[in-house]
Amino acid sequence: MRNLAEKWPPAPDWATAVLNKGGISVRTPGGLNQLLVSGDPAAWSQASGLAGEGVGAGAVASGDAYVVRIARDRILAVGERPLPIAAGWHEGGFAVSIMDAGLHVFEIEGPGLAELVARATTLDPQQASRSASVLFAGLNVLFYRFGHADRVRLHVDRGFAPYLWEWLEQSSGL
Amino acid sequence: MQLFPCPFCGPREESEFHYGGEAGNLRPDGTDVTAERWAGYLHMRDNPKGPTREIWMHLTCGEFFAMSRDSVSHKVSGSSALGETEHGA
Amino acid sequence: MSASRLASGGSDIDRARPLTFSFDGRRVEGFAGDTIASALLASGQAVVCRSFKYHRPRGIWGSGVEEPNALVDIEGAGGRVPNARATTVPASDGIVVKSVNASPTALADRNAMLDRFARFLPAAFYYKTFMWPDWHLFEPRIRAMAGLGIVDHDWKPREAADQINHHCDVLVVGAGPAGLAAAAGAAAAGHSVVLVDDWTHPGGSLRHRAGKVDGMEGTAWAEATVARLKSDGQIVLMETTAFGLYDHNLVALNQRHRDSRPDTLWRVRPRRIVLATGAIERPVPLANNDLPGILSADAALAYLRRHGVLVGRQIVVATNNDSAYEPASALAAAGTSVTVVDCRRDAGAQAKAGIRILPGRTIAAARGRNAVQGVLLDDGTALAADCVLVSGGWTPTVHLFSQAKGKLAWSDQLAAFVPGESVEGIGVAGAAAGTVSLSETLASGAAALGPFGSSSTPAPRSTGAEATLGVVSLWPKPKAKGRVWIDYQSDVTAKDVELAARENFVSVEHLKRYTTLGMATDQGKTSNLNGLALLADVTGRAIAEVGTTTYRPPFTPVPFACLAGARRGSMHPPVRRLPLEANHRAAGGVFQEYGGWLRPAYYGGGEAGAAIREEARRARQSVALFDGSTLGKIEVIGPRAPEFVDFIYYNTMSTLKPGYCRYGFMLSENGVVFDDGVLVRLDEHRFIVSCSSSHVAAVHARLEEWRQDRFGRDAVYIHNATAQYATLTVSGPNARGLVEALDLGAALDEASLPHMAVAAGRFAGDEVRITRVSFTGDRSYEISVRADRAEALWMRMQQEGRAFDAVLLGLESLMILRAEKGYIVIGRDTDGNTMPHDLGVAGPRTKRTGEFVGRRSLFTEAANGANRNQLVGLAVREGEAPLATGAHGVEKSGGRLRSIGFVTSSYRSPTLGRPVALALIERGAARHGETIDVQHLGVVRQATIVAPCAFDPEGKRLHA
Repeated sequence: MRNLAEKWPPAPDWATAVLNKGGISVRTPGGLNQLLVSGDPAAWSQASGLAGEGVGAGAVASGDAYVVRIARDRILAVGERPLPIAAGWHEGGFAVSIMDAGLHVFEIEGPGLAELVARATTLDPQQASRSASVLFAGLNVLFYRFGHADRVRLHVDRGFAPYLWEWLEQSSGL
Repeated sequence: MQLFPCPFCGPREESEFHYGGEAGNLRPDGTDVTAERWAGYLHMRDNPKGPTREIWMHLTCGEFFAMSRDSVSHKVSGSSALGETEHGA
Repeated sequence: MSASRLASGGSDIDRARPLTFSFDGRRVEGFAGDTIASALLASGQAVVCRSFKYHRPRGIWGSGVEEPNALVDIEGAGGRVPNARATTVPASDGIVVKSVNASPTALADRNAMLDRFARFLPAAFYYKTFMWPDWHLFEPRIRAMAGLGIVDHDWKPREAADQINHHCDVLVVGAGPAGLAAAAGAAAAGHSVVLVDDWTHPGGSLRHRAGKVDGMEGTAWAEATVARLKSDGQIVLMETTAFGLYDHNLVALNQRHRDSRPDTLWRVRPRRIVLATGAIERPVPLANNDLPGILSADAALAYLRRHGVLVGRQIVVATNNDSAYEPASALAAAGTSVTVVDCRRDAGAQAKAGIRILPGRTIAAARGRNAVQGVLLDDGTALAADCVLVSGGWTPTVHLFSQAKGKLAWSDQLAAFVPGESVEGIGVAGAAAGTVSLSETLASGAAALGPFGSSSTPAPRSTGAEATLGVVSLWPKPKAKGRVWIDYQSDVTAKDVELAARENFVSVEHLKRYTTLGMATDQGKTSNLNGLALLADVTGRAIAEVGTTTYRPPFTPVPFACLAGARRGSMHPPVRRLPLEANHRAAGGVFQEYGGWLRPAYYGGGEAGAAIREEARRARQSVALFDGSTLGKIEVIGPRAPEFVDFIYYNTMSTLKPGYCRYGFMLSENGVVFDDGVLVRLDEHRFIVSCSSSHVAAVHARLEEWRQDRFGRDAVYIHNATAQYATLTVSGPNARGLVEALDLGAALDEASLPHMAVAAGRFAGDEVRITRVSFTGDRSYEISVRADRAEALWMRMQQEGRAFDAVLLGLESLMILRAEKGYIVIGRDTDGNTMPHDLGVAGPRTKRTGEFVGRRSLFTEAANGANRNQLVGLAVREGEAPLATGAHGVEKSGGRLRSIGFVTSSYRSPTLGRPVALALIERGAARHGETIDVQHLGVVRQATIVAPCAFDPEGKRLHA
């Protein structure tokens, strides 16, 4: 039996791993709190104090707590500190699941971001899209900017984080 | 590579979508549904040449929606979330 | 043929930069700017390859993508490239070029004798002759004689090909006069432009045909226009081929590089496309028209003016149109003797100094062996020649327009198909649209922009001589004497086309497949129209009536490396990785891919079978640890969640109490078992669907679909939280002891946490969920913990496990344990016909009154058939080896063996000391105790049908 551990290299130590190439720098900002929330946005806003439609594909989020739009009735709430909302059903009309560990977050900065986005997605940079959920390097990823236009955050299923890292390492033209 | 208008996200490439069958294939409930009617629901499709109404799923955001599309020219004329009215393409 | 390099001239070459490469072991000299073809011509190499079927000697015919003959294998900086067109690949220093289909060299090919048997080898000869007893017996040797270049099977690109998605206002394909006029117009109107051309320099036909634009020489104007586009920030891609036009006007480009980088793939989505792809010159039908030294007239002019290469000394030109006269005059002016054989009686008006014109004449045959030596005219006159140039008219390059489903229209005036009714978002310009004069061409470029054109900036104007065409029909005729080649690369002659028509392959698509006309790597760029014109003649139809075959991408061959990009090796397809992968690696895990996850198959480096059985044996003795993190964890939350899970599952789930879980099936609407697993109820409104590892995405999609389609968006919500948790399983007689030692703060006694109950606990400050479910048949605890904190718990389990002689289980030993118990894996122990009652779970079908997915299908005639395959166990006699998985149960019926089902899982059980097997067998549930024949690879064995569960059938160990 061939050991396929040889085919797939071990994942790097995310706490220290940094990838610098062609105008981008990639790292993992650990410790972000993430809640998956579905349902009535007004009830959620009232309960959480986090208002707004949420950022869509490539749009700019900011602050120590913000909302990323996934779907018509679904968002991801992201915060530096734990968000004081319990998992499960809330009578106001929304459902919450904890995703702190489920989605790996990559932060990518640098002047080469436009080149990266052109290689990873088929999005038209001139066209806004309400959902931040896009196919990125072939994966379902939440893709938006954080703080300013030259910094991207990606949230990806943690099982695929090593793949996305390898894709960033291997992709040429960056 | 077709561009499909997700009613929520707007235009995205075909590879983000999954086909969900012909629109209007309503499910008959119950065990007293005739075998013919049930077989029709399961298997019989119009497979029209020309204008069609189809159900698609946008894999990234999870939206199921109906889309009007021409099966010959592949021109898309509109889409709507299930239970909503048509959005322009 | 005596081609040679002139002492001066050649717009594309740099004589200050000489280079050398080898061709079939011979040294070839050239200059920077040469193609391999131009350098070979300049060195006097007439024969450059052998033909596909008859091994005829072949020389260079064209000067670009249309080249049907000159395929070569190249070893250069980027590795070996097979079947490259010598006419499009730049020559470079030190490359090794070999002719294809020839051994040892193109000139001295040892299979050349095949051509003498040509009369016995018509179209479809091989298939007709070697049909009996089996074509596959003969195929390898026949293919070895045919076949083109040689693929290097070990070759891998050193890096991934770059792939770029690009959006722009206007994409212009072709940087000839029409394309440049379009690009300049779009840029002037303020649009973003991408201009692509497959040549090294811009200008297209302006680089070798006379023409002046806005008072400048054509080539100078082209280069100035491109320089201006670039300085405006527009994208100009040379050596780049637009090879496919796909749905909704996506255009794929193949960009080649001079260094070792693999080709770049561009996927461009413009708002407007201008196709200025030019036209391709057609051969003239004459016997032996494939002899080396017979070239396209336009190519001869290109070699003269671009590369300073003279294709011959004593030249005969065969034509039916005016465009052949510029090459004729230019070659005469360069000091060659030129005779034009023009089929038009009124030819002669074009008479120029130094050219002899024979009006109203055609060439019947060319003669020569390895190179043309002369021609025989239709009136019997013989002319000596070392080179014959042919110009049979022009075929607009409409490939991309046709790929966009554009309809073609026949033009009698041009004797060609031209783009018909326009396609939304696409303009066609220049020779591709059938223009002839430079004025028309430039104007059509600007007009093709449609709404993207500039109203203020005037289009460029032609200020020099204007070309004319005056083409007449000169198609291949039936019953011609000698062998008239239609498709050079596929070795299809006029006689093959006539044979196809006689055998009633009169549709152009059938003609193509029967004769292979147009199916070679050049896709018939020079041959298709002659072929279908002949078919039209033979079948008494008009050419327009015969029509063309379907144009499909790619326009030119594209390397797989370019299409694959980064998605290769370990990234194709991406696999999911376990949170504890590093720990499993450290523990000596041997990994395999299961359902898209990289998981340990077993631990330790020993022989796989023995190691796996040892894990399974030890698991039954004390306690085993298993990483089950891949199991689905899809949350169903909301006010109508209980009603929703009742509809989704075959089993009633709403009666489940919070804090408990229940095993159940999900069915497809056709009643077939789609997935199985445990549903956990956490509270009144919150369930967790624990589906099969490889089915998570599919189950998630189906839950979303029913939610949105049937229950309404605010009734219930679906959250896939699979990645949030690692699930670590403790199983075995000592499982409870080990879990107690973990000190999770949850009561583990039988009353507090019975089988199929759920409890909350804590580990190192984090909440954990303890579920008592079992896939081994032994007492088991599945402990779910935040994936990023799982490592500490796993280490603690192993540490406490030492006292219990705990063993790590890979997936393979788990498969043995579950098979001993008769626990199924969906899709392995079930197939596309298996319904729940086939697995012995008939209760819900008879008892449930509410609606659920697949319900009606359980009451059809087929679902109630007497001969359904049902899940059973199979036992073999003592001492025998396990049955083969996939072996069929067989039964004699009417003198023939008939399958009565098959083995789905089979293992040697280390605990029982004998093989165990699961199978789907016809009427199996009622046949326990019967012995059946089981056949595998021709060997028949006996097996006895038993209950699926072979180990602990009372289930005592679940509670032990």
